[in-house]
Amino acid sequence: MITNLLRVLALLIIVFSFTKAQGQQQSAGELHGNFQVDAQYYNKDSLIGAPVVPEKVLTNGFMNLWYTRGDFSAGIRYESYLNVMQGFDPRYRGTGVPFRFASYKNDNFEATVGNFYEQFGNGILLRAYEERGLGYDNAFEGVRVRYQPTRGVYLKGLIARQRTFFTLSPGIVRGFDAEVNLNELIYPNTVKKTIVVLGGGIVSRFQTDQDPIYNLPENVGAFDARLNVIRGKVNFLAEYGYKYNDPNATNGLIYAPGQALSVTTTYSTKGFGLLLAAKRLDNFDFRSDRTAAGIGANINFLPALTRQHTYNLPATIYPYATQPNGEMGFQAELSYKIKNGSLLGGKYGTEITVNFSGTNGIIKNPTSNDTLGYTSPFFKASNEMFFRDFHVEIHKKFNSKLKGTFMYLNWVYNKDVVQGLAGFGTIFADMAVVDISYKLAKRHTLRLETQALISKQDLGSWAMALLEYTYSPHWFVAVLDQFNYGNPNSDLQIHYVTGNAGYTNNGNRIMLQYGRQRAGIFCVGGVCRNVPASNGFSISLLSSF
Amino acid sequence: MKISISLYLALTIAAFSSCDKVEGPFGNTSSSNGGGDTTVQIIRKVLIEDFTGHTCGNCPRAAESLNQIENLYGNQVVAIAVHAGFFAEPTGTFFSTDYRTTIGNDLDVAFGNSAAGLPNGLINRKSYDGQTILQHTDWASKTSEWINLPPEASIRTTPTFDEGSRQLSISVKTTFLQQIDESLNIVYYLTEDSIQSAQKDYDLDAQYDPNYYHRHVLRGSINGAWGQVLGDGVSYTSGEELTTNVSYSIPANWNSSKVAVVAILYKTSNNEVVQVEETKIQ
Repeated sequence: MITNLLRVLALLIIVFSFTKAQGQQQSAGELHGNFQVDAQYYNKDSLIGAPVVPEKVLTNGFMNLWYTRGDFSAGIRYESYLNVMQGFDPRYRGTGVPFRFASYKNDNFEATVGNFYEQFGNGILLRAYEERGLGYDNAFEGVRVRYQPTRGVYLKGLIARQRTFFTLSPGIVRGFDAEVNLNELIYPNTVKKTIVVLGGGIVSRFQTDQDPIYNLPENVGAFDARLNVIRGKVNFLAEYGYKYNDPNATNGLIYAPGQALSVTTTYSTKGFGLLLAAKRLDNFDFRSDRTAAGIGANINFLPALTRQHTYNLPATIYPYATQPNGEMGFQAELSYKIKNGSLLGGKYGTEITVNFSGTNGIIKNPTSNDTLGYTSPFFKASNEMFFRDFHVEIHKKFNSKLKGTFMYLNWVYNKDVVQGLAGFGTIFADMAVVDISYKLAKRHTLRLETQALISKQDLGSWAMALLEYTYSPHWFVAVLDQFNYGNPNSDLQIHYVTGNAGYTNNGNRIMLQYGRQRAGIFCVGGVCRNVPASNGFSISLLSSF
Repeated sequence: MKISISLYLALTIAAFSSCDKVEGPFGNTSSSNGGGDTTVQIIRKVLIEDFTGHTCGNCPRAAESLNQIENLYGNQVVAIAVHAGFFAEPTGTFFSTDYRTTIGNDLDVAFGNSAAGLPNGLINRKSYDGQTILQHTDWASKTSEWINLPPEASIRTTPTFDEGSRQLSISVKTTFLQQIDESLNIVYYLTEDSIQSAQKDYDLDAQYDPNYYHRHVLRGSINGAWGQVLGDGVSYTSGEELTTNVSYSIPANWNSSKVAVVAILYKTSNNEVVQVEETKIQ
């Protein structure tokens, strides 16, 4: 119904737009888009501390409309938060069209006005993106050009402000990036064994200084340099960033410069892979508003140097978050496939992944002038442990019907540092995951996932089980229980049970959910927010066209 | 492609040339007038509302920012600490006091402060480019935008407090210095200064201060969270004087020597503060 309605609307827009096209024999272009609405009905649940929602029902709704015609493209995104669902930032309030753009592109030139997402290199200096599930969107609004003067040389430039909720953050961001693929430039017509790509960018933020107490820099500059060498099975990538004095809310208004370095080497061949990575961050929070805290107005992107887990307990109970004020980390991952037909490999082979990552703080020696902050030796980490993740993951297909994933994880998580709290200390946790799926018949699959988290600290131990039945390709139904059986407070040894059911067909998806979600305090950059517990019925509709 | 190349060059130059290196001094040396004597000289005053909670371990940083601003501008700023949201809930033995008020909760719901993450605050309740909720690092600069604007009205509050009956009567005289052609509300809050009780503070080794001084705590209101429309609610002419008399019984557990009445005159349409005056009741 909704898709049909949208199609009619789309058609009307196209017809309306081109009735005046002067009889030229051109295609009318294409309109694509998607629509999503999430709604939840909130029940009272004093046991888990769910707040009373006066509206009873809260919804988040989105629609993207993207139009392309030849070299031209344009689009809008409408967003509606009536009122914004619990767990999202309440500054998403009301409705609007916060994203709209028009763009022209030919062989070597592209110009965009309006809103756009952009990334320089890996984003250490600049990255704008949307992560709807987190309510994160730092899209730029302004002008961007991309230009390829010759083969192998890619240039980008932008001047823009950034979206923060339904407004723009006060700073103006100017950025320029160049990337040179030496192979394409020097040997455009031959394939060389070694590929070398050099890159570099400059970003500067302007924000007026009206602070009566401090003399703040109005223009804050930063640059990065990148090197990527690929030879056969080896890929080496290094990126270094430097930021001039940028006193801001996250670093506590210090004038010290910031630095970031990230180095990754991978080796991969059939059945074997190795990844080694290291990084160092020092005072590298960079935003288009120096007073912004929490999420919002971020110019750059500093991902955690650890594996992003997808299994429920490792992904949600103690996830690590990058500490932009200073951290040093490493990651090593080895993946190996035991051959089919061998003793351990069995008929289908066995895949094993071993991963170890860790992050510590950096050493901060106070300076005589505390407005300058501190000095820090570049190649030394402090003894303060922020995070450790050691895990082994085994994928095994037993026969044509049965396959499984088995995982063991051992974590160290400094809750005080990662969440910006105090008094919780460091948490040691062991986790195990067993994920078995069994094909009952053609198109019918049953999957059972059991997980455990064993810890003596904080909220104690957890157990989790998920049973999912899929009738592919359209239907699925699942029940999930998170049980905090080890909570030191016996009243809080609660089952968080949710049931899900969904239907997917031709780019349309409807999902229903009923159950409880736990509460948590989330702190980012010195601002803490209580994401409340909830109990209720939710519905999610997604449609692409 | 001539145009795109020159566009490129322009962007490059813009990006290259844009970095200020501050070599010090990092502090500004100029100082303000530090406010004046209210009875003689009418000045514009700025309302700073600090949304906080006693279990919010980062909130003392905002209180420190507020204190810096008060040191800079003296009585030209009027501060109120609104304890609201999750971090203001009473909990355990140390944090058993409930500093929340119904009017504070109303303000919190209306402006969305605690849900946006504490600490944060409002400066004259104005929306700056769409942002009403401001981080404490932004308070000083947003306050400075108001400081030198000429006052549009003056508020003179004359409190009479009877210690025996704990009855407070206040006469409030609002005098307009400029023509204002829109509806204004006036609201009278009561604050209590320097209440000593525990406060979480992540900067301390103990992680909390058992004897923290909670400054400017919003305790109640004489006429609700939003007050009432002043005068005819249509227009106010320069020189016009409006006098209101109100009364309130001060609860026995408030330290009356630390209680002040804060009269706020604001635009009904958008909540923006026109003038504010703080007077101790004793």
